Amino acid sequence: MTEGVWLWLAFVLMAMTTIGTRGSFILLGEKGRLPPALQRALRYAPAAALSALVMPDLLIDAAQRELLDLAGRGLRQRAEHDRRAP
Amino acid sequence: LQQGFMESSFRLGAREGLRDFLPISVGLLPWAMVTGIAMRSVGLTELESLAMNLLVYAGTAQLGALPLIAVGAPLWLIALTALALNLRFVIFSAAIAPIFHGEPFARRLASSYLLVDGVFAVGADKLLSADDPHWRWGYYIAPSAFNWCLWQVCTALGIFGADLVPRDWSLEFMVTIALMVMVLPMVRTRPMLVAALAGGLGAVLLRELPLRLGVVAGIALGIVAGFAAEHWQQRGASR
Repeated sequence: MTEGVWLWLAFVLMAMTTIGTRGSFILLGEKGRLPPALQRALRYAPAAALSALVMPDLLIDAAQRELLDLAGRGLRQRAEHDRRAP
Repeated sequence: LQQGFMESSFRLGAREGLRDFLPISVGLLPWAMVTGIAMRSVGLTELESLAMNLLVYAGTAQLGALPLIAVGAPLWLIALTALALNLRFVIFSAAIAPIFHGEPFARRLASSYLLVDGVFAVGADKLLSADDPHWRWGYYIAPSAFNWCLWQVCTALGIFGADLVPRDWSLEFMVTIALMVMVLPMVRTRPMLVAALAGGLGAVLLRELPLRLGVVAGIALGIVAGFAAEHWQQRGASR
């Protein structure tokens, strides 16, 4: 885990992204305008980022659990079978 | 007389802003508590959790960064992920900036820190069509400040109540589920779905890359794929 000074540094960096994005045009005043194409492309960032964070955990972990379950069931059936067979 | 007029128009704006925002603020409560519990569950202390909440004040970015903090990912990756999850605010900021022209810097700074999805979604139209700067300031700052208080209080409930959650609950999995619940309402259009799928699958396929670069690559892939899908959809429609 990220700890101590590094953790606080992470908080500060994250805070900078909050102020940086939210304040980008509010603080800039009338100077800035975002190109429309970039503005449209940026709309996809949150969905892409969330999904990139979640899907590896979801798919890989779920697949591993599934495999373990299958293996466990197989072993149990085998044991059952062995017990029945004299 | 001038002073009295100013005050009342600020107050009218504040009251209307709160009235418009109040119904949707209810949705914030469980969300804030989950964020509080999630911060504790990856190993942050109460103090660290409260500080993160005050400094970052962005639920999505906080939840998104937690899995990375949990595994001790490099700082630049934590920052980049927070940036990606906060990028939508650049668009909000660009859209709402005209109402702050002429406001003093301190107000613009406070407004930037306090800008959240809910207030923007509910109020942007009214704000942009209103002419009276005092009314606008009231209409913006009152629900924004209310949202801040509500978020801090409910997150604190989660932070200090986290110990009451049974030990055998998989809290790390809760972070994953909370993040998933956020993606689902986003993917209502096909390009958005393409962006989410490309981002997710890209991160899965590239997960062996060092420094969790797969996440960054996934995000970039998702943005490009979503943009391309939108482009093709429009071309198909215009044909």
